Amino acid sequence: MTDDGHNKEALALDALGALGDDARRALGAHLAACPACRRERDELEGVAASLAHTVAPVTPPAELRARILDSARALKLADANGHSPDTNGRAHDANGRALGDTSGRVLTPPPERFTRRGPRRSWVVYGAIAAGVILSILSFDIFKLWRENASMREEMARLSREVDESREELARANDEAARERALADVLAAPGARVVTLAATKDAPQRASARLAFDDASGRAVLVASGLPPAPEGKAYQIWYIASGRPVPGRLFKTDAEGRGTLRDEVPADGRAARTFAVTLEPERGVTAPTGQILLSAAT
Amino acid sequence: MTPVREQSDTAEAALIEAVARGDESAFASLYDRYSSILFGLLLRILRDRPEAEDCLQEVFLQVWQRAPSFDSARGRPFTWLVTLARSRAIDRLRSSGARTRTEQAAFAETTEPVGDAVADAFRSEQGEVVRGALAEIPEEQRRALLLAYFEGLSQSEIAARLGQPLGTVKTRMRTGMMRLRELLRGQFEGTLTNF
Repeated sequence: MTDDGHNKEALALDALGALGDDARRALGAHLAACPACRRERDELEGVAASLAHTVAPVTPPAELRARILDSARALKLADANGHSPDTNGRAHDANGRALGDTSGRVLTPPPERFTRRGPRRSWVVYGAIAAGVILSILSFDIFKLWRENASMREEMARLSREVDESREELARANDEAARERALADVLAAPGARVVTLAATKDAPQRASARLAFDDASGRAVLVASGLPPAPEGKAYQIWYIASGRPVPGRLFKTDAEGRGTLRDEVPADGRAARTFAVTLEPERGVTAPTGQILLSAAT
Repeated sequence: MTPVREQSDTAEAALIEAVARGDESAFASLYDRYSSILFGLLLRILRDRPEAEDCLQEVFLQVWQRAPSFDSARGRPFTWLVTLARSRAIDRLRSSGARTRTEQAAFAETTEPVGDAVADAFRSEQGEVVRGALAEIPEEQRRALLLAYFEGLSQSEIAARLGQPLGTVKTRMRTGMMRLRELLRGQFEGTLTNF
């Protein structure tokens, strides 16, 4: 609260229906005890309501007028027969909340009990009318429930899509972690080294790969990124170039995001390699490179 | 405040009192006087005709039942009716899903700026006065007020929407309301509670 306990900002926000639930409760408690703030809130509510003047009036359909006047009469008759819509005489929405409780503004005291009484007439007539009224109120509620149900189903579908997306993200994160672990495993070996393979002019500029390589055991892990998925029937192949002779390594593919991982056991004759290259080859693999070099590194 | 206005407020307050006693013809008169402005408001907020028709029925049945709680000392009949209608419409909007609502608000802002085209067809005296007053308050204050009133966004939703700190938004809304009150008071030369 500010201004000596009179929260002036809250009054303006409440008149605009913009207070959050907690702030609304706090203001409600203050208003109950402060006539000056109540007056100001009522006044600001008048200012807010004047905004409705900026909207062009639209005549509702004539049958709506008839329906509303009929419903009002029916409610009155139902009430006369003791069948008021509920014991408080307040309308309720399909969730059973008293209408007017969720509007985002602090309520004035609840309306009095519905006290009107129609002229006394035959109970049989009223009974029949009341039954009709109750039926129409029920069908209206059922219709509302049906609609709410439909919107909840949509919400559930949306949430389930979000769960799927999160799951995919998690899977991607797990892949990423697995790649990092694979690299780390190889690098844990004493003589291991890492080289970065950069894109040649024949590959997309952002393409690159890291190769962790342990000379002693021949274990190698390559993590590539930015390499577009290989065309049908093709795959990327790594080459270990020792003494000017390319020793073929295994093949790998990349996913839609251009990422791929390869674990390899480098043949003995490739372990002395200081130069590495990646080419695009038929997916069964070749013993000598036929495609252009896409990634390369020399150490 | 003009005498004519005072008279019409008194007459309408009497109408609501009659409605409170269960007077059906008074209810019909009240409907005839207010259904268009309220329906326009509901359409503006809900942007869906069947929904606005449903809501109008809900509003008037509530007027019918709650008329005994109307207190002319608290405000004008106009304020009572408009506040009731706006609350019902915002309730509907909120129950239709918060996510789509902020999206709709973003859409509404881009498609219906202040002083929208529909207004050409309708130039009421009060409408002109309020538009004029709105045009005089700074854009960032006006935007926050309209987002709250017509789109039903809460203070924190407005802060998020405008990318401003909550404190700033609250101050702007308070300042905007004070300024609007001042401008409207000058225009109608009326007392506060009666505007």
